[in-house]
Amino acid sequence: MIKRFARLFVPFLISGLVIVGCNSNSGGEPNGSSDGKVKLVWWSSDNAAFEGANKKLIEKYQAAHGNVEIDLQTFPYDALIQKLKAAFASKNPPDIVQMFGTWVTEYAKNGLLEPAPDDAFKSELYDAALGAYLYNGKVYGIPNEYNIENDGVLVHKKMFDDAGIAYPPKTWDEVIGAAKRLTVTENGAIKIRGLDMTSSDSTNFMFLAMILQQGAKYWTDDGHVNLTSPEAMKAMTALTDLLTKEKVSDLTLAGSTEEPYMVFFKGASAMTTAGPWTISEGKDTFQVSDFEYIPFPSFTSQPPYFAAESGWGEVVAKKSKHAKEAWEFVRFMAEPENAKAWNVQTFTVPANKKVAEDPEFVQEVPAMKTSLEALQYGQWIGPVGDRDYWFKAVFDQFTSIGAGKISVEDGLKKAQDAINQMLDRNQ
Amino acid sequence: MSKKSNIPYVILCLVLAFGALLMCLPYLWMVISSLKSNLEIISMQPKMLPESPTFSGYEKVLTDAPFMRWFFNSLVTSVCITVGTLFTSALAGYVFAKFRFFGKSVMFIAILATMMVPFQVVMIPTYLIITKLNLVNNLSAIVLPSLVSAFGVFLCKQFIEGIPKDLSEAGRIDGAGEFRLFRSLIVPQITPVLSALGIFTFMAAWNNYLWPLIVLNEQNKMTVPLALVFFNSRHAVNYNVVMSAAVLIMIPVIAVFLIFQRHFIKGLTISGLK
Amino acid sequence: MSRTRKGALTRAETRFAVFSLTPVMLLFGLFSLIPIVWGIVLMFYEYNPLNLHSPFIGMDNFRRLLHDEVFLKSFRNTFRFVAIAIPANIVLTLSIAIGINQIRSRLWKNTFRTLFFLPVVAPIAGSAVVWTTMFNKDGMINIMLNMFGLQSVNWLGDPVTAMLSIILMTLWADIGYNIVIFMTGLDAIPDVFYEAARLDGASGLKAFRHITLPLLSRTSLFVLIMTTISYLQMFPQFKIMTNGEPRNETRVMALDIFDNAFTYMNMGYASAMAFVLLLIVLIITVLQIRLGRSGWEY
Repeated sequence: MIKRFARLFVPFLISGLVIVGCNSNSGGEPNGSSDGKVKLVWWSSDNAAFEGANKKLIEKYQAAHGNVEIDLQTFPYDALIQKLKAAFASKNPPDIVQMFGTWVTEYAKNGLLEPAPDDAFKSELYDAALGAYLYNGKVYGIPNEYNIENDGVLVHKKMFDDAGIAYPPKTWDEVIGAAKRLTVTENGAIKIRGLDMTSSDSTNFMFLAMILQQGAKYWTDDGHVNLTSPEAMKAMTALTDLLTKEKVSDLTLAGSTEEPYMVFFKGASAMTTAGPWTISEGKDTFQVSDFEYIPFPSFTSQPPYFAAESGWGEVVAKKSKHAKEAWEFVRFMAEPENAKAWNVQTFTVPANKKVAEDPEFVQEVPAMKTSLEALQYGQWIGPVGDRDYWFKAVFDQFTSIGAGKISVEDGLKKAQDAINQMLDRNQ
Repeated sequence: MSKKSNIPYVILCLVLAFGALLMCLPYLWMVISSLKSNLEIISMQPKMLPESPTFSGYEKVLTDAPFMRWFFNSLVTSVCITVGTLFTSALAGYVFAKFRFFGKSVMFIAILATMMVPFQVVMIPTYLIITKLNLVNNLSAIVLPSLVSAFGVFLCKQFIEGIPKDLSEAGRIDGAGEFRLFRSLIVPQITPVLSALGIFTFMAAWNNYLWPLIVLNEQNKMTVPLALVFFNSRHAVNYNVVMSAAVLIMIPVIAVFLIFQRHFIKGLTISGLK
Repeated sequence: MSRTRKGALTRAETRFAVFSLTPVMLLFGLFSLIPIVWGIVLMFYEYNPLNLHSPFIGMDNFRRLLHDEVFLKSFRNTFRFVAIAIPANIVLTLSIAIGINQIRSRLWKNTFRTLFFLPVVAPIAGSAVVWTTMFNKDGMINIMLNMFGLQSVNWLGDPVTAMLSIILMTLWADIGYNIVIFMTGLDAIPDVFYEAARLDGASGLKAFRHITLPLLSRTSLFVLIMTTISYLQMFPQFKIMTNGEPRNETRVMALDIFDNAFTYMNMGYASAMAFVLLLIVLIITVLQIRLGRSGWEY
């Protein structure tokens, strides 16, 4: 009877094992392949330009290093965040990750990353870009990008010309004035947005920049945030006034999959604050080129200071069986020549000072001029902990204030409390 | 029926026809937008019908995505889950229905109790177990946790209890082994239940989204629903591409349903009303 | 092979029972019992798999829940969703089922049933993607509104309409299921009852109230409980269509649990949330069964 029983159970088990078998080879786990090659698994976001630039560097590297094979696996931004946490938590991470700088701290803190064998390259990089890659005096990766999300603004110059408005606007008041004149309202709904900043990133960075531009700080000395200072309140009031008083934008895009920059490229806004990476997005995906990217003026008479996150860069997993080879590849990517090629193709702001100051770089990507000139005013945003939690906390309150559901003071208090609790838990 | 009721009857038919039309609209929209071109989709003046229908969306899906792989993944996992569930449900149902042993009612009540527990409660620890088994991003992570269905065991037990005892006694006198008894006497008796259970297990496995979302991450490992959403976030702007993928994914499902329709409906009533 | 006393198992039988039940119970234990117990343990820890230490924090997770505005909102949203979607579902499905049952042509009856049932078999994730584009600014629904000279509505982006849009989608996606069950329930009511009622002069509505409803009570209770349990845990359309936005208006508990567990990796905290959901499911189901019994048994 047992035999008969086994006869039925065995095929069943075998089929199960087959599934296990045919899948276990291609997981995130690195496998030295049979021909003695070192195989490195590299995860990155699936942004088309990033993927392309990464693949080019892989080709170049593999041509020079015949013993290394790099397998690039890409995920949508949201999935990447989640998958990374899952992979590291399950002790099964890829060898190399193209990580967003801000995420690095949490992994470094928990001993999940392999520190750089030497850190001579530190001086070549901007502090703002390097900030999140440092933990307890060690460097845990090399940023390729100086992440700028809002220091510039996408503009449809033609709309200015058609309306006879002086271009480009040079002060905060001029921008707001122009935005009000360029806003087109139809049946009580905004048809063309004068100035749009209703994405979570734009709002958060504008808010922090406006605090800095008033000469204030948003960090307290004991590592908490202070979002209820008079300067912070003034900044949030000015931001939400754009919706409630100036009425140059509205909240219809807030939280939807349609980002403000997409709407801009469809021609439904005159100005939209966005990072320079949107320029290539507009040219490639939306196939438009009749726009410009200009500096966003300071909120005060002070220079246009801003807070920046450490941008995309490579880290190596501690669990990697080929950490040495992985780091060699990461160093290769950071060589000025390769970094430049990567920055040009991905249309990102260089983290490497040499690349940023290279006159050839501006020649190749003239649209980046605005951002390059602003780099000196940037500072690292600080140890934000769970960045998505922080940004959501502020943006939730921004939309609530903008919709008149809560006062500026109460909203900021709530965001501040939520963020500080998160920071405490993340200690 | 009396003649009087003819006008209400016509109205009823019209109302139902209208409702049915509404039900079909999303499919219509799906097909129509899959035929639009990129430029039409990002234009400011949206139209219902494509101006110049094109298959570029389908082309992009078939060249850009491991489409057959997704189908294969879904098929393999769903078949394994279905076969496994049918096997374990029938067997456990039989044992619970026809045998008496120590701890039986405790075990059975434990099984029943888990039916009430929302998936949200078990998904975190199950994920951690899968992590410990090193099965993250592996298709067996989809199959293993679904091999035993509390509902299936319950359903089979109910039906097997209804089978007269003399039937199995007769077999026993013939000297048949227990397993053969189960296979040749019990299983044929509960075929309708098993086919109902099979259909719904398969459907649930094929359509599951949350669990694959948690444990799968590589594009090549994805099952169909997950892959479609993944594809959607990648081509959010060009939704003609997404709709083409949706059409390609929905068509086989609908075709299979239309072919086995009668079984579906019958199965639903058996499993639903017990 | 002799039987010793009534009810006791022979050796062969024992072996069979042990051999067949062991693998099943092992799988069941590993993927049902252990997770439940583990989930209950996790609620008392601050557990993040990335972290080196996971301290025991007692009831802190529950204390935190009481002050977590996003969670409280998701709690309210879950009830808002259920309170609108379930009655709408039951009323719709019951009337459609009665309607289809009146159709005399067998072919048309089957066709209608098929058309209403079709969305049930489609993957709900796929349906959610399709409906997202329908609700878009340039989507089908707005195009149709514009055709009738009406203003476009920002369906998924407006806090007022977002939940409504998801409810519409949900109804479309699964009314077919309940329609079929109600139709079977209706078929099971013997025609004799209606004929007797007609002889007594009872009109359609009266017959509905005094025959259909009471005789359908078992079916209705089943439908109500199953729908409630499944709607309380509804996830794909919320994740895909709005991801909880705008202003967390469509963030339901299932979504908040997922985000806390797998986006913020606060698994202990998420387990506490899941436990609250479990309690809600239990309480509502028990209430429904109680009320159902007292209301329908006569």
